[in-house]
Amino acid sequence: MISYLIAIAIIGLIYVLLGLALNLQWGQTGLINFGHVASFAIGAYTSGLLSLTGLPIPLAMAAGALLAGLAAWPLGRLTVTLKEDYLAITAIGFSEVVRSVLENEMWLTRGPSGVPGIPSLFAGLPATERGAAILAALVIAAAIVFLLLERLTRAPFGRALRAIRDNEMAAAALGKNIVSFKTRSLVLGAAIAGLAGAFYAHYLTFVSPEQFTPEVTFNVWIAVIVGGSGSNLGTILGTFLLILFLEGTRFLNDLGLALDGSQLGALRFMLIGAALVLCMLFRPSGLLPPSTRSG
Amino acid sequence: MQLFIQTVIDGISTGAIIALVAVGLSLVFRISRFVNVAHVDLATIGAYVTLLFASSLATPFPLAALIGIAAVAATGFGAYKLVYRRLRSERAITLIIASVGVSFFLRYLVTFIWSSNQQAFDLPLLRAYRFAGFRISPYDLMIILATLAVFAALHITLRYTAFGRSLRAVSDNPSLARVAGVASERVVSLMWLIGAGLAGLGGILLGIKAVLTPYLGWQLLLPAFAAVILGGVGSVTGTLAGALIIGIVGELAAIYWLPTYRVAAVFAMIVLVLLIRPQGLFGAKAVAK
Repeated sequence: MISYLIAIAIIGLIYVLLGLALNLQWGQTGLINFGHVASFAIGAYTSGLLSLTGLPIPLAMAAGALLAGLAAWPLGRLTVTLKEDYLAITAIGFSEVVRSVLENEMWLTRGPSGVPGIPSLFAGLPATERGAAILAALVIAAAIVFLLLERLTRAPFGRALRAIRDNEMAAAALGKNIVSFKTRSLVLGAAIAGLAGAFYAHYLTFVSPEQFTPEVTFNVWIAVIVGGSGSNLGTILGTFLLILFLEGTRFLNDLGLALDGSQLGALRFMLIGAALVLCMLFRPSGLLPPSTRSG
Repeated sequence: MQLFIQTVIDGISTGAIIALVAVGLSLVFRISRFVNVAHVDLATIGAYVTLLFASSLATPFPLAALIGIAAVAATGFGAYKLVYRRLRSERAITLIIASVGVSFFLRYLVTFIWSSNQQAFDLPLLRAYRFAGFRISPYDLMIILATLAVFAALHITLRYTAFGRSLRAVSDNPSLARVAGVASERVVSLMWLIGAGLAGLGGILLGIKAVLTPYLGWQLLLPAFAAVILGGVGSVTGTLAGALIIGIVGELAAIYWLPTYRVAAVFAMIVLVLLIRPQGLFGAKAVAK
């Protein structure tokens, strides 16, 4: 039971990192990044593969975050000046291309069967202690990212991002370099998602293309939107609710619903889709909208 | 050369299907001003409803296809009435996120009902026509001809009928159109019905060429979007031309590169268009900004 809870908490915190990253891009800056999973995947694969070549894990994880950030840069330069719809679809395209590279470039990624045997974080410890240690490391990482983003929110940089989100033309008229701000937000968010991916790889010790489908992106989206776009605390709350929902629905069958595994999975995503729609219709600002001072 | 021309012929048939899905995406983008991600999932629904009637209920295939198209038109219209219409005064961002929700709901509804296993229409195998050393299957020929007929009809409708004039008026300036007495609600509703129905037709035709999975339509999102921006948002003939180009490029990439890199080729096209001509090859107005 305790190792089950630790496992859920680890996945939950990885989602918190992903959510905080998306909240910077979407909540603070208004960028519709529908390709979030691509940064997650790049971070996971980069860190996993580099550590297999013998690079120490912390360095590999840093490289994963860095590369995920760098990979988002051209996407930002290309699309942030265009209408928001263009970024949305282009980002989906970006993540699909990343996934097809993972599936096809056997020499690099070993194709659809994935990369096994990635060195685990804290490999010297027995299983339960290992989980607890990874959890502790993730708590620290998430806390640092959270504090960093909170600071950023209050700093002039964060105010500029929100100004751009709320009224791009006015921000431009005040001399803000829109492209530069948006691109930096996108890149920083992608790097955080890459870090999440690195943790994921060194926790599971296995990565494969099918872990990085668009569903991951939209899980994170629903967490941010339900929690309250623009609010880091709201994002954490939203992630908590998402994990509760994903784990809770495992036990739906105990209530007498005779669904097979794939039907249960499908039902879960139907509910997530419906929740997105309902949020947009009735509560677009989420459960914990940012306070007026910081929002 | 032989292989090249053969590939181009296959690409035209794929492009025709992309065009049918893209045209609704384009019209909605023009009139309601957001990219309706769920539009491509309507194609999936069209294919599966047709499968249901053709296989399980033994309805003749053309009739089953008509039922499929009608079901899709109803679904698309329902989504408009229930979701998009209520959000029409919101920013495009809100609408596009809602459309992702609708997309998820529809795709996993299909998964829930029909499972994610591959399925196929039970159609007879027909011998390919041959001319000058090239082969074209009767189904591909039918797909191409049907698409051309649909686009001819659409072009005439938009150019020469009262509905077409109203639609163009609404898309150019919604408030002016309303003041001028154009019943914009009716026009927009009709546009959603037509766009959705055509997406359903596209899904059914794709189901003839490929296997059915709940991702059938999702795979068309990038190609259809590429066709829309390549052809210029809102231009029906531009969309057709853009879709044919995308279809051919995708097929060439599949043959000369790797089948699974079709998506990468389409993505490269999107990037190129956005870099060089965001208003599209055939679009005149700067609509991208």
